[in-house]
Amino acid sequence: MKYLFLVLLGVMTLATLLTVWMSPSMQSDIPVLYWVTDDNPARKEQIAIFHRWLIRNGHGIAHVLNTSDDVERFRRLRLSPAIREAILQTQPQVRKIWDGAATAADLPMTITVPRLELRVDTANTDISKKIVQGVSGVAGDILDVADMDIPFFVAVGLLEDVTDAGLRLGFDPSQTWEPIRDVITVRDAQGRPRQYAFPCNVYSNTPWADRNTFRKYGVSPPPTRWTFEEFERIGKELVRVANAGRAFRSVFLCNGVDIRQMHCSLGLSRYNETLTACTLNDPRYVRVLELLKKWIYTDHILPSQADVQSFAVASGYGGGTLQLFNSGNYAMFVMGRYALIQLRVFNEERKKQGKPMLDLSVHEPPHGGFPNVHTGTRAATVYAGGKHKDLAVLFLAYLASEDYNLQIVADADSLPPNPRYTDCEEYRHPPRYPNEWEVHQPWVDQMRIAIPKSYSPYILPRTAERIIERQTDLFLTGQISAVEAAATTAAQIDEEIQRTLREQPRLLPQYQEAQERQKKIDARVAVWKEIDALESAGRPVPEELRRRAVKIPLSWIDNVFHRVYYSRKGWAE
Amino acid sequence: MAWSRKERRNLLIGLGFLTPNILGFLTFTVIPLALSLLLAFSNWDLRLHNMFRSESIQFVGLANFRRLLSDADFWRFLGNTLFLMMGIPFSIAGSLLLAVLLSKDLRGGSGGIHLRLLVGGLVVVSAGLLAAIGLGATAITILLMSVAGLILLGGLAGGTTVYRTLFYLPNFTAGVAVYILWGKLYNPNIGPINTALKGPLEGLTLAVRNSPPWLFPAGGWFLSILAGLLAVRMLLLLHRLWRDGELGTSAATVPLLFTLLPLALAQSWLAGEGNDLWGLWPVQWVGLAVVVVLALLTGRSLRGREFRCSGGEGFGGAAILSLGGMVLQFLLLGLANVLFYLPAMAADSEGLAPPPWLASVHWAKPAIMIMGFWAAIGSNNMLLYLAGLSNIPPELYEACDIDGANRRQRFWNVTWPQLAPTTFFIVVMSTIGGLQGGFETARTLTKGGPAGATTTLTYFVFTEGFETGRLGFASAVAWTLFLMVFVLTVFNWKFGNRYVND
Repeated sequence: MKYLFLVLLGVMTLATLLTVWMSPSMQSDIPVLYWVTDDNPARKEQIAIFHRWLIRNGHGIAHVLNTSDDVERFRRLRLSPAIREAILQTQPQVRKIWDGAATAADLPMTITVPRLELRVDTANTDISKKIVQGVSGVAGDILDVADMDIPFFVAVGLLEDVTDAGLRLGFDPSQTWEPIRDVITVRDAQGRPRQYAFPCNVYSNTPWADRNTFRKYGVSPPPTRWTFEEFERIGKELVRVANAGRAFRSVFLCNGVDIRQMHCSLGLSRYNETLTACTLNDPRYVRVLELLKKWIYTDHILPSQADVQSFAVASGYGGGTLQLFNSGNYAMFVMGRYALIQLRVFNEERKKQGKPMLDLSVHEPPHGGFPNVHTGTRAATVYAGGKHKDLAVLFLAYLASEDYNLQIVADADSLPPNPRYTDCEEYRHPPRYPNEWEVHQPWVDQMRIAIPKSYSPYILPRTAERIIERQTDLFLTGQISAVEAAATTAAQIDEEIQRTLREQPRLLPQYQEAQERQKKIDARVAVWKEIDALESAGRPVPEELRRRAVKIPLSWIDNVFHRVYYSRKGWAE
Repeated sequence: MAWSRKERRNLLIGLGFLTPNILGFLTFTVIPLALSLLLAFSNWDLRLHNMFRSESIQFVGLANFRRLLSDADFWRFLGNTLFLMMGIPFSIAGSLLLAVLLSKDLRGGSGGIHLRLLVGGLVVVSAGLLAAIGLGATAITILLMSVAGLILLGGLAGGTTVYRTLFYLPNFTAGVAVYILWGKLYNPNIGPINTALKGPLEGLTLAVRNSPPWLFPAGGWFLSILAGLLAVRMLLLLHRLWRDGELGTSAATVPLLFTLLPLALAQSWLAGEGNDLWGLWPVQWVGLAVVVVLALLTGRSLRGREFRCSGGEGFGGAAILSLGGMVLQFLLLGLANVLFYLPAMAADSEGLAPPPWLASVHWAKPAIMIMGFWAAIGSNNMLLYLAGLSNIPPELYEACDIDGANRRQRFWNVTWPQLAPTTFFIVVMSTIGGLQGGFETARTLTKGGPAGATTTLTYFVFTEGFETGRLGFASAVAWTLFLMVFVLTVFNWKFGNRYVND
C-alpha cells in the first residue's frame, strides 16, 4: 500500500511541475499581464490592436539580428501566437526568420517585440472576487472597475495612483469627457485630485426607441426632450392600444426609468452639497417614488418585476431587455450606446428574414424641469499589488490612443473615451450602417447635459444602493408609504455615514470641515431658493433679497450634481 | 514504554501518509476558523486593514456582537432564516413517506400496485397523446404528461430502483442549474406552475362569486375552530404526559409556548391590523376557548399529579410534537385567513390570480420553501429512512399481524419508534442545514430580495464581509450563527436522544 501512496505522490508532484511549466509566464519570454474584464467578443480585437500599438509606439524591445546566431536566438524566443501575430502584422519581414528562410542578405534586421503580452481574465469580474483577490495580493494587473466602485477600491488601496504616468504617457483626465473627469479622480487627504483610472468607454443611460413600434399602434413617437407628463401621456396611449384584447399585458412603453436621474431633474441629489448627509427625505423624492409606482402598477407604462419575469428571455448580450425591444414588447429601453452591438445583430437577422429594420431614435430621459442624463464609465485601473505596474499603465495610455478610440467608434461599444474621436465622419455616419446615421450624434449632444453620479466618501456606494433598493421595493409592494420610504432611506443612509465615521475616525476632521462648509452653503442656497420661489410665482423679488444673494464658490461644493445644477441656475461660480 | 525500531518506522510512515491531509485540514479549516473567531472581536475592515493599508487592527471586545444585537437587519434576516426552516418538518415527513413507499417491492409486490401503475401510466400517456393531436394543449403540458406517463410505466419495468433514482435526482443535480430551472417554473405569467394554476383559479373565482356569501367565511370558521381544537388537543396531550410523569414541569414550558404561539400571533396580528372586527373574527373566539381550556387544565394541575419526574424529563418528545402541532396550526390559520378574504379577492375585476412568486415580498419565501421541500424529500434523508426501514426486524411486524394491528397502528407502534434514531439524526442535520441555508438561492435567484425578503443569515455574512468589507462584523454574525447551531444541536442531543431511547 505504501508504495502505491508513494507512486501517487510522485504522480501528483509531476502533475504540479507540469502545471507550473505550462503556466503562461513560464511559456513566454515577455511578461504576461491580465486584464480582468467582461466576456465581450470585442476584447480579443482590442487586445490585438494593443499589441500592435505597443510595437508602433515605441513600447517594444528591439532585437537587432546581425548574425545567424542572433537569428537562431530570436527564433528560440518563447512568444505566444497572439504576440507572433502582432509582430507579423507590423513587421512582415519576420516571416522569413520564423520560416527559416532568412539569408545573410536579409541581415541585419531589427524586429521589435512588445514589452508585454496582455490576456483577458473574464472569470474574476465579480466585485467580491476582485476585492478578495486584491487584498490578498493576487488580483489581475488591470482591473475594469465600474464608476461607482472606484472610490471604494481607492479607499481599500487596491488601485495605483496613475496621475504622474497619465501626464507622462498622455492619458491624463483632460483626454476624456469633462463629466467623467470627476469619476476617474479621487481627492487625496490634501484635497488634490488624483487619477486612478482611464475610461474604456463612456456611457449615458438614455432611452432608445423603435419608431416602427409607435407607428404600428398609431401613436406619435416621443420628442427628443420630454417631460414626465409627456412620458406618461404617450405611454398610456401606447399601452392602451397595444394591449387591447390581449390575455395579459405584454407591451410596455419602456423597460424602466432611472429614478436617480428623475429626482435630479427636480433639482434633488441623493446627497447634500458636501456629501455629508442624504437629502432624499424630500417631497421631490416622494413624488418620484409615487410616479414610479403609478407608472408600473396603475398606468402599466413600465413593467413590474413580475412582468419582467414573465418574459422568458434573458439571454444574449444585453440580456432580455434588448430581445424584448426587438420583439416589440418594449417600445423603448434605457441603455447606453453599446446596445448597438446587439441591435446591429438584430438588424442583420431582420434583413435576412425580409423584415423591416429597427427604426431607431435616441431620446433624453423624461425630466421634471431640469433636463439631465447620468453618465458613467467602465474604467480600466492598475492594480496596486501587480508585479508589472509600469507596464500596466501602458494599457491606459492605449485607451487614450487613436487606435483604441476608433475601434470603439467602429464597434459602437458606447462612446470612445476621448471625445475628439466623435467629431468625425466614421462616428457620425458609419458607412456600413446608414440606418444608424441619426442615432450617433445625439449621444454626443447629450453629454452636454450629462452629470456623473455623486457618491459620498462616507458610505459605500453599494450599501447606499442596497438601502435605496430595499425601501423602494417595500414601497412598490405596498408595505410602506412613499413618505416612509423616503424618510427611512435618508435615515438609514445617514446612520451608515455615522457608522463609517465611528469605524474610520481619520475621516472625522474632513467631515467636520465639510459640515462647517455646508452651513455656509445652506445659508446662501436658502436666499437663492427664496428668490427662485418668488420668480416662479411671478412675484417681484425685493432688491434687499437680491443684494443678499451671494454666489456659492464652486470650490465649496463636493457634490458634482450641485456644481452643475447651481452653475446652470446661476447660483454658483 | 520503549518503541521498537519497526514500530517507530511504521509510526513515521503512517504520519507521513497523514501529513498532507492534516496540513490541508490545518491550513484550510482549523487556522481560518481560529482566525475568524479572533476577527469577530476585532475591527478588521478591508477598507482599513489590508496589505496596502498600515492601520493596525484593534481588539474591540464584544462591540461587533453588541452592534449585531441592535441591528434590525440581523433580526429580520434571522426571521427569514427561521421562516424558511418551517419547511423542515414537512420535508422530513415527505422523506419518510417517500421512503415507506419506495420500500415496497413494486415488481414482486402486490398485483394491485402493479395494476394501478399500469393503468395510471396508460391514462397519463393517453391524455398526453390526446392533447398532442389537437386538444390545444401547450408543449409544456404535453411534455409534462408524457414524462409522468413514462415515469409510471418505468416503475413497472425497473421497479423501485427507477423511482429511487428519480427521487434522488435533485440531490446530485448542480444547485445553480436547479435554481435557474425553478426560476423558470415560477415565471408569473408563462411559467408552468402559474399556467397550471390559472385554470383552476378562474374556476374558483366563478365558484366563489356564485356561492352564497356565508360559505367561505364559514370555511374560515371551520378551519379556525380546527386550529383551536388542535391547540386544545396538544394541551390535553401535554397535560396527560405531565400528569403521568412523562414530562417534567420545566420541560413543559417550551412545548406549551409552541402550542399557544400560532393563536397568540394571530391575535396580535388582528390587533395590529387595526380591525374593527373584534369579536366577530372566529380566531378571537377560538383563542378565548383555548385560554379557557388552559385555565381549566391549570386548575386541575394545581391539584397535583399521579406520577412525579425530574423537571427536564420528556422534553424532546414533547417539543417535537408541539412543533409539529404549531406548524399545522399556522397552516390551518393561514388557510382560514385565505378563506375569509377569498370572496373579496374573487370580487376584484381580475379575479383570483396566481401569485407572482419570487417577485413578491409575501410569496418569495414560500416559493423558496416549496423549492427546498422538493429538493429535500428525495435527498439523503430519504436514503437514511430507506436504510432505517430495512433494519426494522420483520418479527415486530409479524407480532403486529398476530395482534391484529391495522396499517396505521403498525406504523405508529413499530415503524415510527424504530426509526427514532434516524429521525433524530435527520432533525439535527436539517436544523443545522436550515440555519446555514439560503445562500445559493439568494445569490443566484433573488439577490436576497425583494426588499430583503429572502436574505438569510449566510447571505448577510457574505454581503457584510465581501461587499462592504466589514470582516470583523461579518465574522461576528458567522459566529453567532455557529452559536445558534451549537445550542440547538446540544439541545437536540440532550433532549432528543432521550426521546430516541424511549
